[in-house]
Amino acid sequence: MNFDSILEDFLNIPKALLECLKYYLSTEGIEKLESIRKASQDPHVKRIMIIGSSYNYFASFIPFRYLNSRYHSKSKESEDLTEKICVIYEIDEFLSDYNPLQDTGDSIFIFVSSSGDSIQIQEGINKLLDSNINPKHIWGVSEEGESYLSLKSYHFLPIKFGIEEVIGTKSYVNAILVLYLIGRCIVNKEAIPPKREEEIRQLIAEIKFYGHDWESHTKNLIAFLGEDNNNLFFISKGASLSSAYQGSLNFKAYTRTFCVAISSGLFMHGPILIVDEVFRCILILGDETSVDETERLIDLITKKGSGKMILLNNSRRFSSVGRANKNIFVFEHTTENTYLAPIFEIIVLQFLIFQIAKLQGVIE
Amino acid sequence: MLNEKKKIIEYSYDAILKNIFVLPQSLKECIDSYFSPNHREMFQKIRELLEKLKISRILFVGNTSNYFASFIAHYCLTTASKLHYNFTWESFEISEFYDYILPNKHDDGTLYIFISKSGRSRLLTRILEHLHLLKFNSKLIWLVTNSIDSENAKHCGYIFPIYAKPEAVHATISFQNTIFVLYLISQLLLNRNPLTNDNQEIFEKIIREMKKYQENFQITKRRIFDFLGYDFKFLYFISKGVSRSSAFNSALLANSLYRIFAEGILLGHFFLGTFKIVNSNIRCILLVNESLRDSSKKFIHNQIKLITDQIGVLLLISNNKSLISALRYNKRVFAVHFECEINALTPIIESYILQIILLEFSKNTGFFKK
Repeated sequence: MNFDSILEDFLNIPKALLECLKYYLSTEGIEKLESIRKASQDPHVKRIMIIGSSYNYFASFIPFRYLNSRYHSKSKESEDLTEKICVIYEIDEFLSDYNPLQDTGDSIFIFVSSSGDSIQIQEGINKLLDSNINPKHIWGVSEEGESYLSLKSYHFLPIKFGIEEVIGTKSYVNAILVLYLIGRCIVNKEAIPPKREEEIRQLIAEIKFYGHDWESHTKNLIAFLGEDNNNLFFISKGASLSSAYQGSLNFKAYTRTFCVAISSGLFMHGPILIVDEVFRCILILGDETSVDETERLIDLITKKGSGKMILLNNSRRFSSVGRANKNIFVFEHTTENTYLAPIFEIIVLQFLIFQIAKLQGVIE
Repeated sequence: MLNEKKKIIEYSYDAILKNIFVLPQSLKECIDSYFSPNHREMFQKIRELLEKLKISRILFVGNTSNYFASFIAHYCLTTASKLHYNFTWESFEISEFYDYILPNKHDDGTLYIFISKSGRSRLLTRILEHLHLLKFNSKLIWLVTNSIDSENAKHCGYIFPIYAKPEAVHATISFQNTIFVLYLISQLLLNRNPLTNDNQEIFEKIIREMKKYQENFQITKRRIFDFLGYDFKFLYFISKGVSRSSAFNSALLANSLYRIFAEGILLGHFFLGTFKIVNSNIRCILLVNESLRDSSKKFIHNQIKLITDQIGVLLLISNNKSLISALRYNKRVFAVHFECEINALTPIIESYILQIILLEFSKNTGFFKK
């Protein structure tokens, strides 16, 4: 694996995201989104199942949160949404556990796959078709082309990432964007109103800007964290849990470090006990829910436990808490939308992971 | 290395072992209680209620081990071939639920099933008071708990006691009892009567199986550790299907109680990135049960080979006779076999065995309170 070609992947992420955005602002893209918006307004449709493997499964955390948080007052984005519940499955679990005989025509199945041709995705689609699931209820999200998924999906939404050197570098962020747009359509909202378009364009600009300065940011992060950690915890909550899982998976894969991704709630009720001065974690926060609890978590890890933490977040409040603490390295970004924040979060983490892998000699 | 002072485990080895061995009796008392006339009557009333109510969504909400126990009910509903009632379901960790899912307006189509051993956790109290203020129908709020008299119980229409005996360490006993109660609830939601004589016999067999393991544990544990060794730093609990409940709970216990770095992971995820860090510092425990579908059976042998080629050894805990039989000449796999006729309940025995293994490993590290 060559670092320069990986770097090229990373630096092309803004372009890939922009291509994706442009497509869904084009007549063809708008029509596709409009057709799924209409299809999901069928009152019989109650359940949206999103099925994916590895990082596509993690990307599905975004619509999972978006659709299931519909009544929550703390998230303006989620107010007054319709009553569709979102269920997510890792493809292997879907193949093993989900019994399609129970379907009464009230579920839509959305398969997410970068290639659209994986054996498991094919098995998943066939499992549904063999059980006489309405083919109109099988949708696909994948790169364009004549893949099995694109051919079998009644509604097919391309993720437009192009080609990538390392699987998931570009397709993961584009999948998040497309799944977010799908979520908006399902709740009968305009997919990309001007305010959202502006938000997405700003996000892309911020990623591009980060790309100019990635070396110095990453150097600072590594100087704080160390490049040879025995273990690393990725702690998060809400939609940003997707970044924790994807970050942990990539960190394991490319730096050969033992990592655990965990929700802050679970961490507080167990693993908090193993925190000591050699403990290292990355806390990823994409919203300001339960501020007191979060500040308590930060204190327990960094003050009581003397562990070190990178605080990757989009909140002035959390950042100010972190800046006053020598055991915390604050990285604050400006993407306020909690469902889009994971796109920026993973960019920061990917640069960090591959730079550490380079320093360790895992990649050239 | 961890700070040595911090590593000291608050309880003695003997106290924890004694506590774990109370589990079969604790579970038996729970089973017997649910087969009493009182509970049979309560179950009948609930079945009548479910016919009347129009529930479109069921949410299981619990913290730590209670959240992991909710996977059993989730699994039973997901694998069912027919749903008598037309609803959807999901499990949430209680903090995530409180932060992102808790409704802010009245809703009469959702059944909330809260799982809390103490029944009085701060978050649960806040959530129940919030639902009460929104005038939610209390019949749509159920509580699975060991504290039937808790203040919070008054907001709940139905209370399902777990009858767990006192535990020295959180979730050493209550986890298995909670699994059992959630299994019963899942059967009610599928419009099935779980309190049949046939089921009672199956549940009794689970107790007998646990006692059998208890009687032989000295020999079994020695063989397991002769095989696995003590010289490892990280532990993976790899699972498939409903076993993720015991895998995730064991990983949490390993991290929190036994000071062993551990992760619970789905088999489908293990080979994607995690497998690359697998080396001699790591041990893997594989939890799969009889529910393996045909195509998985083909892959599982290959997956086991990949792990053993990399590490040399693998501990398998399973009720899958054919899998264990096929591996009987494989010297790189140590299999612990148990009998359990209901796949959804296999985490009860898996987690029982795993707790003893974790305890033994910790004993060797010398971090127990004297």
